[in-house]
Amino acid sequence: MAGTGYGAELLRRQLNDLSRNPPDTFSVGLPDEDNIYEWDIMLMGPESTLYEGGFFKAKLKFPSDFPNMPPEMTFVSEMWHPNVYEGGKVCISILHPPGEDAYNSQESADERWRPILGVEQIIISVISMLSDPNDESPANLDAAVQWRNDLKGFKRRVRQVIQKSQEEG
Amino acid sequence: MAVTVNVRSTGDSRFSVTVPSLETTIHALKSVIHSSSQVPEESQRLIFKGRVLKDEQTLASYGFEDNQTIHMVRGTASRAVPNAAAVAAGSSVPPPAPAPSSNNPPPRTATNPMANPFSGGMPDINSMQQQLQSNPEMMQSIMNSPMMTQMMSNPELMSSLIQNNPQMQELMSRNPQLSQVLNDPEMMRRSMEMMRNPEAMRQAMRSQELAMSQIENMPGGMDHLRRMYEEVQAPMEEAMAPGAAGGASTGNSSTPAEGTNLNAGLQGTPMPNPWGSTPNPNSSAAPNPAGAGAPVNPFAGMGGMGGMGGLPGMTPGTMPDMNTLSSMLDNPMMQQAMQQMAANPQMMQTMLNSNPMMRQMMDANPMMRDMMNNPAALQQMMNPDNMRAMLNMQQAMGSGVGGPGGLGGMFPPPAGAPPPPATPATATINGLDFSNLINSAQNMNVSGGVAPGAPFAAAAPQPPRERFARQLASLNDMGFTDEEANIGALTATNGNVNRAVERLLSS
Repeated sequence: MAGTGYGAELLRRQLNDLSRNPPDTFSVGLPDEDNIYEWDIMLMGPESTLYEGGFFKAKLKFPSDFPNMPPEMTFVSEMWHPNVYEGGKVCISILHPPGEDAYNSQESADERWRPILGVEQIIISVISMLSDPNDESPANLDAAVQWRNDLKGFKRRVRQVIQKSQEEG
Repeated sequence: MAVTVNVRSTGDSRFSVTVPSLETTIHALKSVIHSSSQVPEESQRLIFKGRVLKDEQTLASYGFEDNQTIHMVRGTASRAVPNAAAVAAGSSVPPPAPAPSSNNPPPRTATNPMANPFSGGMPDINSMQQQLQSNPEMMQSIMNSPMMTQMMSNPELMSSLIQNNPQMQELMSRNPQLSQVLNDPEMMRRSMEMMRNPEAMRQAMRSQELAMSQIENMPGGMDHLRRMYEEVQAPMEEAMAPGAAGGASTGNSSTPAEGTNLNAGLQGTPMPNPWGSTPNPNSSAAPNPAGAGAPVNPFAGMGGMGGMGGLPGMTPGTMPDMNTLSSMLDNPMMQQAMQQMAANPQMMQTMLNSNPMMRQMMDANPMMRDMMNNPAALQQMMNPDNMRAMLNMQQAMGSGVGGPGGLGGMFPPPAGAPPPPATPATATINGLDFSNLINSAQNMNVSGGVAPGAPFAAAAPQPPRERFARQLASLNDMGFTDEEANIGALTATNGNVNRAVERLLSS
């Protein structure tokens, strides 16, 4: 994983693009300038969602065979969301390995990772996940149950998470 | 060497600031940003390369280069919570300028207009009201003020306040259902809660206006609205307006007294009467058609809440507010609740069974009972889209209030209960005189009566002779005496008398 080859070149180009024209809702950077395979992400809680006002630190880890395989996204800031594991790992279909999965009939191949997807698409998907949780295949069961049955409690919990994220900053 | 920093903040605003060098600290940068964006330094969060910038660091230490872009997010700084003293002091402050000054912290601005009505001279109540409506954030900060919070956590207080107001009481004795709505703490709390959420408020206001302008375009709708206004809204306002003074004198301990004022100040603003003059749909659809407005008059919202949330309040008392009802449907929170309800037919049923009016209805109409016992049908009914469609239907029938036989407008008239017979019953229940509405309902029944029944036609079939009894009588009066042929024609035309006549003539 020397940071050479097609995958690294692709990542470098995307990083440059994103730094030059930063999108509205997130910011990216490298914690270690020599390792293009690990990115810092700062997600700003999308407006008019429960997560508005928070800014959440996350990491994107790219495999050495990127872009054939998807990166892994993990929240470093505390997160409370049906589709985020308690450890912070994000569970959305486009970050799942490509192709059909015999054990998961809910996801078709075109909802999963495809090598043409870039960092921006990933993060946009994550942001849309924040505004619209999918409780069909929850990663955090407690959060999903609360989201479904006790929205008030869920909101309260999210507000705590937002506050924490602001204090961390 | 001067360095340009492009700042992009959430929303659309972006701007550039210039700092002397890359060795500028983040703290210094923030103060520069403050002077060009008005965002206080302590609530600025600057983000660059996926990191939050720390005050003591320099731009260079984050690898910032000239003309790059950083993000700014507004964080909540130490929250400025107005204390009770500030609220009390507010009562002696002169009326606020029509537009709230954007420099003031919102909570403070917000307390002033509230304070004014109870200091007596409130010269321009309408402007205040408009101000409130056009500024949901202010409303929200009012609702979030400790006073309000306290009140909301104590809904009994509110209902006792209402009951201490003689005019209110008179109104309630005329409209028993209204009192039921007002007395339900849970409902009060919920509608208050809705008002705290600016997004939901805005949404509700928008759809309310829409619903209003739609209803105005319906034949008979205007009449209906005016009547509603005269019978419910106006007396309520009358009751509330003097409440500002009256409430203060009735207040026993200091907290309730203040609560009254707050309350009255909020609700007591007389609305311009959009229906007082010639009914001109266009002019009354103008800025403030929301005479029954959820925004300023929480009770209107409450009615809707009751109807929707539906639990204890699913009674005719909620009916006057079909508009709010439909706007409520757009409230995400509500939709959530409904989905939950739909997902849990058991709960729904318990609720229905515990409501005497419902029970009565079901006893009178076994078909209805079947429907209620069928989870699939229930779920179908709870579908927000269906509900909305039904609401529209009912409004179109001009009997939005009376039509569905006391079901709180929640359900379409079951095909088994033809609207005309059902309406008189409900009209009395409501304590309002809807007799003229019945006529319009009957006239419109031709189109309206069929449609709402349609989704449930399978669940509740009914002999055409009964279903079209009224139309049959009309045909008979017109001289078409062959009943079989009449029924055939009516069935084929879904009860449209005109088309049935054509059919009979051509055959």
